[in-house]
Amino acid sequence: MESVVPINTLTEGEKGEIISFEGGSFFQKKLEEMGLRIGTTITIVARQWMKGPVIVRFDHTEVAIGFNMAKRIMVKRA
Amino acid sequence: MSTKIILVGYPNVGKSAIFNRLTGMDVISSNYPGTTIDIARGFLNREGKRYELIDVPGFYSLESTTNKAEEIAVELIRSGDLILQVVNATNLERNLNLTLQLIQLRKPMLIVLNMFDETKQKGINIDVAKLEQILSLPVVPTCALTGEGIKELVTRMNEARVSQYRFEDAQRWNEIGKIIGQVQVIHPQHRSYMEKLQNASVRPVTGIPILLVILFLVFTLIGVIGEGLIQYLFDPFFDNYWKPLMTSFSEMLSSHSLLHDLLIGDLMDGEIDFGQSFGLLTTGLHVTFAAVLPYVVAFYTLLSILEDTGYLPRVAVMVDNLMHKVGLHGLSIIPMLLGFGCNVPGTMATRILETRKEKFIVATLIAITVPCMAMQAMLFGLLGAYGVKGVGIVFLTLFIVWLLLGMILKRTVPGRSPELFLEIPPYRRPYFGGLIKKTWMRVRWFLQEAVPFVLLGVLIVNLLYSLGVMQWISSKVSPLFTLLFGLPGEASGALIMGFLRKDLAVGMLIPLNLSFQQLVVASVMLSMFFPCIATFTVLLKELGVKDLLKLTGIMLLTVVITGSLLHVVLSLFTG
Repeated sequence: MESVVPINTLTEGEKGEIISFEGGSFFQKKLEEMGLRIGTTITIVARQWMKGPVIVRFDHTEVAIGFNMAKRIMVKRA
Repeated sequence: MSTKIILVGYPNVGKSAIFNRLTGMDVISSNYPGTTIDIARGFLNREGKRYELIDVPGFYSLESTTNKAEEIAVELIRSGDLILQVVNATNLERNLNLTLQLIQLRKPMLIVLNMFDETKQKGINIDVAKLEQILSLPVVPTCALTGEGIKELVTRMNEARVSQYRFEDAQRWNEIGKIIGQVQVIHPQHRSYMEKLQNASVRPVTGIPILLVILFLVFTLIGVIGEGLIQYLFDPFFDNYWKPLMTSFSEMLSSHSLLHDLLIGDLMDGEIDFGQSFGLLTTGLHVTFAAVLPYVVAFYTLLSILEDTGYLPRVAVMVDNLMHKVGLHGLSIIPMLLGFGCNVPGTMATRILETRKEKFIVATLIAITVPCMAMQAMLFGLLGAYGVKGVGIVFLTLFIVWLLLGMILKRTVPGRSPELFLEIPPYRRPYFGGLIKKTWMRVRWFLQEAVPFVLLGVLIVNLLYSLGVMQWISSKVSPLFTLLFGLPGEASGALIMGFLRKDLAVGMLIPLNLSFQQLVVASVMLSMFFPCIATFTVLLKELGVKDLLKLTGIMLLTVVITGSLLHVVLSLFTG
């Protein structure tokens, strides 16, 4: 069974495929508008110290996601 | 009536660069009535036809109703004749999401496939003709940086048409997938040098040192450009042309008339002294043009470079942690940075913040703890002789107050602090023409807004002096001032002046011959006491009367406490 983890637990350079969003449709919509959807593969570009935002890259785009949002995006390690 | 073209697109697609390429110098940024959103308008003339271009602030979706900017965009699009969507060619899939939404509006449309040059570098191959065919819209590849494709864009402007492309909205992402499949081929690439640099500048271990270096460079460059302009341009002008002119003018007016006092001010040893004469045409103009403006120009130049290279969002990410301690998130660094140039645009920039709580905290922190260029220039004037020590203590005090006040406000102001969710653009060489235009627009704005206030300030203070009001106030507060702050009562005059123009207030402190310690306390208090009247006006507009009164109360309290504490602390040190 592949482990499903929140984005903010991945380390720099790791890839993950988005499986689900823990949140309402508003949360999902917001992410979708930016291009982050179920099935998108993301790579962790940078992590900040303590509870800072995480920067992910997908499809030639880089997005910074705040810690509390990042922990609600679940990915399967790829 | 000119054809109205609405420029639409995601943030970071180079929309502003395209806008700047298409328009002449008469670009105006104006407020959309009834809102806090600013729209840029410009004109394009071609073959006798005149087009009006409207640059809508970048947004992510036409469907969300939470964002005022997006509502405005939709209204503007409906009122326009033609939609020009600027698309980032390296992100075609994502951008098509907006394209499909726009197509449903059934307006004549044209796609600008910008940053096309970057697709080659990234191994992306787009069949433009096929894309045109599928979308039934003209698609023009461009590179705003070099200007490639702009001519073609202008030529094909009237080919814009309503798309015949039909699809089910619920299947939008599938449609996008289908289009991409037919139109785009990506060859995987090795990690490029640029990517490594981008990563390094945002990962804390390397990113923070890089940030410190860049801050140092920026600070130094601002000083160099500012001083250079003063030394080689403005001071020579004032000393060699303006002074003789004003001296003759002064001789024409009878030396103690009200007019002379207002326009020329006091003569020091029979001569005009730009620092102390305090006339509208002497100190008033000199301070604006030879002290503040050079630094404003320098500041805005550097800021535009930082913005256009794409570095600022990365700064926002790195400082996000720190910002959270004061109840904000990373993006609020931008209004605060702007505040260092001039508190007015800094305060206006709080519009980019999502919640009222954030807006209030940032506006308050800017008003109280962020010294604008004018204030900084004068700080250096007052304390420069003492070297880094003096200025250092002032900035350190301001920073500590920023931190403490921020932490207090975070816990006491009701509301939530939002999370950072921000696109980080790749590093790009800035488009030089855009930089110039941007800097020029900001400087021009500053001149139009600053000069009237300076003159107003000088006028009011001169009047207050003539009526004896200043002297009366000084005598009344003198005992309090000496007790709490260790300052003579006359310093109160400088504080009042500080409400009108900070830099002029400093001029009033010079003749008081204060000691080092007194200068430091006075400088800090001056910096924190009341934003200048221009900022005050903007705060009134942005926050409303109630919040402004709250801010004023917080400010008075903070100034008195800081002034007293600083006085005590410094006394302990200098014994």
